[in-house]
Amino acid sequence: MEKVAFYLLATIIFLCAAIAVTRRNVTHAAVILGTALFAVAGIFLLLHATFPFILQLILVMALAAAVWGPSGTRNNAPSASLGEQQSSRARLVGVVIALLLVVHVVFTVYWGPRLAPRGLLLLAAASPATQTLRMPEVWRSLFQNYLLPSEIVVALAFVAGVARNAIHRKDT
Amino acid sequence: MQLFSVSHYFFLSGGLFLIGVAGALLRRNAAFVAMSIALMATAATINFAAFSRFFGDPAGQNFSVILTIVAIAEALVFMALLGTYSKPGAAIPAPQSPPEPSFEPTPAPTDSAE
Repeated sequence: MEKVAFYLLATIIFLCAAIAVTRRNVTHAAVILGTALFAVAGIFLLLHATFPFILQLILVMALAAAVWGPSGTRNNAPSASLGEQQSSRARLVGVVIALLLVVHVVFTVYWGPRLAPRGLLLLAAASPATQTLRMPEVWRSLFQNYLLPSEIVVALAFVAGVARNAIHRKDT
Repeated sequence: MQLFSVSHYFFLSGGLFLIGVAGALLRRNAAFVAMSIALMATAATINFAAFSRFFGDPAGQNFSVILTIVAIAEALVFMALLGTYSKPGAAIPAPQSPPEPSFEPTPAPTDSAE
């Protein structure tokens, strides 16, 4: 069951991410990106990471509120990417990255399981921790060991919220 | 019983990161570049959470939380910018690099007095 859920979520994430990046309409791309982020929340649930799961859901809701909110993109987004042209250099980069993706998939599907038992992939030998981390432990670690980064990030989020309101007010 | 190793999540985040890199390099619209950066940050978040789960260290989840909050802030600002600048026929251009200087020799000034 867990395996099926993982592969289903991974497929959704890959498909939605690829569509969101290649879409021409900004609103559609944002909605599809939200779907991919929602699937990532499911991955967090599989990893028993409750706190990142909740925050990921908040991120999806923030994205939805930004798209359909008062200063959203509902007005006229279809034309937001007009005039976008791909240069030959960008196409070359795209081909290289597509090749990397193909190598990545081939390695994952064919060579990964064969190499893992031999220990060539050191990470594959790692087994999950016996005890699942609980939220109080994560909270304690966050506020004891990483107090300054968390304060900085919260301040950054506050500034971003103020900036969003300022941009919205300037727009109206 | 856990059916997966950390390499599954590692490959998942690697693929997602590659898609984000492709979007950031190929698209000219700043909104798409922002979305691609958000995808890359999400890939890093998956990696942090997976390593935290498999090695039993809460630091990974802490960094995952920090990255997610940064992604929320980025989504707020960029979508507000998007709502502001999404006028008919308008695109938010990504910053362009300045044109490269030409190294052709400048023509010598001609004597106009003659």
